[in-house]
Amino acid sequence: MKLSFTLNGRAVQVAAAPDQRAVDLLRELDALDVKEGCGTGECGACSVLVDGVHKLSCLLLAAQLQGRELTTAAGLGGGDPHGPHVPHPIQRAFAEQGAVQCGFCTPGMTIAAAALLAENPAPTRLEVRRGISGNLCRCTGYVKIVDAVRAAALELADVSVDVSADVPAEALSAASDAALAYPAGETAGDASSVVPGAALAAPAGDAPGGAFSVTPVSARVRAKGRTTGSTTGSATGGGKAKAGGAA
Amino acid sequence: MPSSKSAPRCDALAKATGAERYALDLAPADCLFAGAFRPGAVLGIAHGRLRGLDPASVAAALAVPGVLRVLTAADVPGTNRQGIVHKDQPVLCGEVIRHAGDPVALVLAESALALRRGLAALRADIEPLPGVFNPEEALKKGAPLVHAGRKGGNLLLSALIEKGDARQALKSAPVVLRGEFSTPVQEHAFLETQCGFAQLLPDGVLDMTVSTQAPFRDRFEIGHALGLDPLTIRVRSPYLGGGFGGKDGSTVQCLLGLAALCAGGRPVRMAWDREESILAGYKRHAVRLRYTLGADEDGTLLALSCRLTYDTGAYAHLGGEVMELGMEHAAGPYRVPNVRVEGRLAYTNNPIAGAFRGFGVAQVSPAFEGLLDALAAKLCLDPLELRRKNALHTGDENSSGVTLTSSVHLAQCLDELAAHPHWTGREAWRVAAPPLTRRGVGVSCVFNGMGYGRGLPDMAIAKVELTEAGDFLIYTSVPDMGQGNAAAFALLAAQELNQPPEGIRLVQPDTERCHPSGSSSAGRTTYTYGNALLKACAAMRAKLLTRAAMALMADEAEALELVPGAVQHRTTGRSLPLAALARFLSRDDRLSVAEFLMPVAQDRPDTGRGFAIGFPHLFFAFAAHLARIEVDELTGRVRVCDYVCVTDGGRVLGRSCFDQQAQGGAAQGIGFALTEDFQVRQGLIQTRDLSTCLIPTALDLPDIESLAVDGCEPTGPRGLKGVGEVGLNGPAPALAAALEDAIGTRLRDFPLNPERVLAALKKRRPSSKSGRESGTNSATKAGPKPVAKLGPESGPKPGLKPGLKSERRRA
Repeated sequence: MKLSFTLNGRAVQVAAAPDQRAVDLLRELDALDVKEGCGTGECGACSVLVDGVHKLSCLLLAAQLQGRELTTAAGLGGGDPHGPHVPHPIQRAFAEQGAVQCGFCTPGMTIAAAALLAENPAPTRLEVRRGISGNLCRCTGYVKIVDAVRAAALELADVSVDVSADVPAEALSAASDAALAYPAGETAGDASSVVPGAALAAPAGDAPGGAFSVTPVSARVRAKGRTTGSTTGSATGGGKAKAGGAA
Repeated sequence: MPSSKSAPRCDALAKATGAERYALDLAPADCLFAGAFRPGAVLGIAHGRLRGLDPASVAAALAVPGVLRVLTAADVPGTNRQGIVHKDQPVLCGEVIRHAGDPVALVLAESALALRRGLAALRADIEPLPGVFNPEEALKKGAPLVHAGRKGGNLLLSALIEKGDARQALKSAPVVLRGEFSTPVQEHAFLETQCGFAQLLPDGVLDMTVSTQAPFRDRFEIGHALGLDPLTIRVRSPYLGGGFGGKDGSTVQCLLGLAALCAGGRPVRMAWDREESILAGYKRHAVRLRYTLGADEDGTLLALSCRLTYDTGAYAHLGGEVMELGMEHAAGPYRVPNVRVEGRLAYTNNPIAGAFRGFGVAQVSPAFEGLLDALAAKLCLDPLELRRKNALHTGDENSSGVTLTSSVHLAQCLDELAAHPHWTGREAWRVAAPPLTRRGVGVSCVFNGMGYGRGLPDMAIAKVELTEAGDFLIYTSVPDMGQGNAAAFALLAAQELNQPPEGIRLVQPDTERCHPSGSSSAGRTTYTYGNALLKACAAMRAKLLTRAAMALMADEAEALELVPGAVQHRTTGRSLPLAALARFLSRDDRLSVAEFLMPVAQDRPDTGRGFAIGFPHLFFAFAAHLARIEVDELTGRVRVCDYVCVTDGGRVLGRSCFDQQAQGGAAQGIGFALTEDFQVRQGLIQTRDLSTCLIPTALDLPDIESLAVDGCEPTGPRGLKGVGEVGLNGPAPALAAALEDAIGTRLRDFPLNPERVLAALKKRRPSSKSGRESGTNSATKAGPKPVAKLGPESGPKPGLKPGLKSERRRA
């Protein structure tokens, strides 16, 4: 079938099998910044924005792109289309904060970060972690990725507010962090009723196994199911059904 | 933790914008697709006699539009044997499959779809054979043989380290503790699966671009397997999307080479999907460890004896070297005068085990540290103090009998940790545990050898070129799998040549353009190549000054200096731009090549027996880790609340990159210890994808804090040591210690999954009011040997001493 959509601001018309995976089509269209890490919606490396919404292109079919506006990591930045590419502040922050190691997850991770910041311009560290929890990174341990997203948030915040823009955003974040007790500081004991990670990532209504069988990782799967409108079979039960059973 | 203000890694921005190109991104559009047929997993057979491919199915596969070839073992031109040290692994199996991921055919097709259909059409006739799935069973008489007719049966390697007389010392030691431990298989789970593309060029060169850690060695492995002259094989290795050891040695290479040989000169690509990556990729060795530790009443270590059994799966890969390194680290980073370490490495019909960051050492770390904690509890000593008391220092003799002339800053790591608020404030934090949770704090002390070790010269050859444009090319030789060595090379060169970052460009490893410099592994990459590079740059600088002297009419080259973009005369300020200088020089003269050989222990001790290569090591990175955890009493889930690594990696060249290694290593170690839980039953992998192989997400990890002990290794480039591996070794013991602190039971089988934690909690629940004294060392498998010499008052009783272990109270 003939498809037309917008890819990083450029109108694309292409003939594709309707059941072709979007990730394959995009890579055929030379959007090689879209990586495939698993093909089953687990890793997030193939993340793209579809009409501004974070989606996994390995779980989308080509036909689902019809009429949509797609943004990949390469399209996040700006600049004159004929001039040099200007990196997006998120991308610059990833580089400056040391959030990039092998870099294979990074394009997808920056997409997740962009989607997060569009929704929540001043996320706390925990909110950043939740926002990128559908994107796996095997290299970094995520600390510097969280640093980068927060640094980008500060830069993207309305610069007219104050040159020392880090103050308001940081203050907001710090208050929020304290309330959520993460990273655990002196206040951790007070906020301990928050079930860490898991419950936050998957609201109780989403967790058929009950709150106590939820773990962050299975929550990730559920969260992704919501994002993409598709779940990955075995994933939800997965290794963690055992935990509920054992309890 | 302060974020680094240093300049970002030179590779970071291109990766962040998606502009960087990995192996598969470089594949030409007209590539054919190659894929392996691995019937064992489908049939549920891990060991079987291959009667053959069903001819009708081959016909059906070939009938699929776009399928070009179905290749079998008969089509492999060479020995059909790959392997790094032992050539025991067929490229395509012809008679026997020895694990469920063994390939028996290779399909070549015009498109990915045709490839998939062709592979789906194939059927193999395999007669199941009795398999062996436990390394200890494998070593018993009458066990099914993984490699029939092999001399030595399933015992691939047996080795011994003997220093002093451990048996005698244990007999007379006042305190003796025993423990049995097990560590599981671990999947690398790099985000970029094994992949590459290849083409047989008209001049007969097999040109390959592969995601590989060892392009130079690959040529020999491919050449041996496919009957090719290594000189006719060109391997290029662009940035890897992660490696961690799993791309050290042939993954797609031999299959891809075979495909290219049969593709009529067309380029062919091969990319394993995630399931194939897990099925056929190399894993961390599962290990069983039996330990006995003897100490004096004051905690001084006297003797350690242990027996390690490593499961290498169906093929050797680097199994022998992995086990040897584990053995060399088996007694921990401590002074132990009497040591006996027995290692056995067995073939089984399990997935192939091979190199993985923490190379054999991640497995022994929870064992020696587990017994250190048991000793601390037994003697009511602070576990950190006990470690300080026994920690290795420069000049000490380590457990292999090597006198450590290299830098050792373990004590400083421990000092840093001892002063950390998470340690000093542990009691207050622990008692503030919320309802239905328990809190614990644990520490560990680990190390990791650097380089290949004695007997396998660890050498690198660096090449630097002054280009006509007046900037410098660094021919990097050793792949960057994400650890940042390429950026470190650029930084070292920029410093040594006094050039701005943009004056340095990197050539990624390419066997035709670069010089052989070994693999990207063993914590050696930046150390060895970096040293060679500094030498090459120094020679380049000296050469450019003398060459510029004429143009600048300076009698003495010493009066000249290299400045950004030019050579300058110090006193007059006259300068010659590098681009202009390049015009005076032939290309040969614009090159500088230098090599570096890692020093080895000079007086090789006679402690090791059965070691083939790579024993002993002289340089080690050290680290002390701390974990604060919360255990959910209802689910058994362990949450890591805080994690601190203090690392001695020599001098810190770039703080950000240093922290990346510490944090990333710890993250993988936490996954290894807690959640990944890789399951293999009867040789069949149950953990087939990333929804069951639970590598940590952003929500599973705390903000891992990385602290550096800025020591100096005098032989290192700018004083640095390799820090890539040591971080992975700390979490398993630190988390087990924290868990013991929280629930009163030491778990010795990993991972510390909710089932095990719950079982331990249940076992203890009836007596939970009585404090921890009854459980400290009474884990199911091992407890302290009752020792007559130890008076009853020396036992850990609550409240007896103000030691860590006796103070805990549980509401």
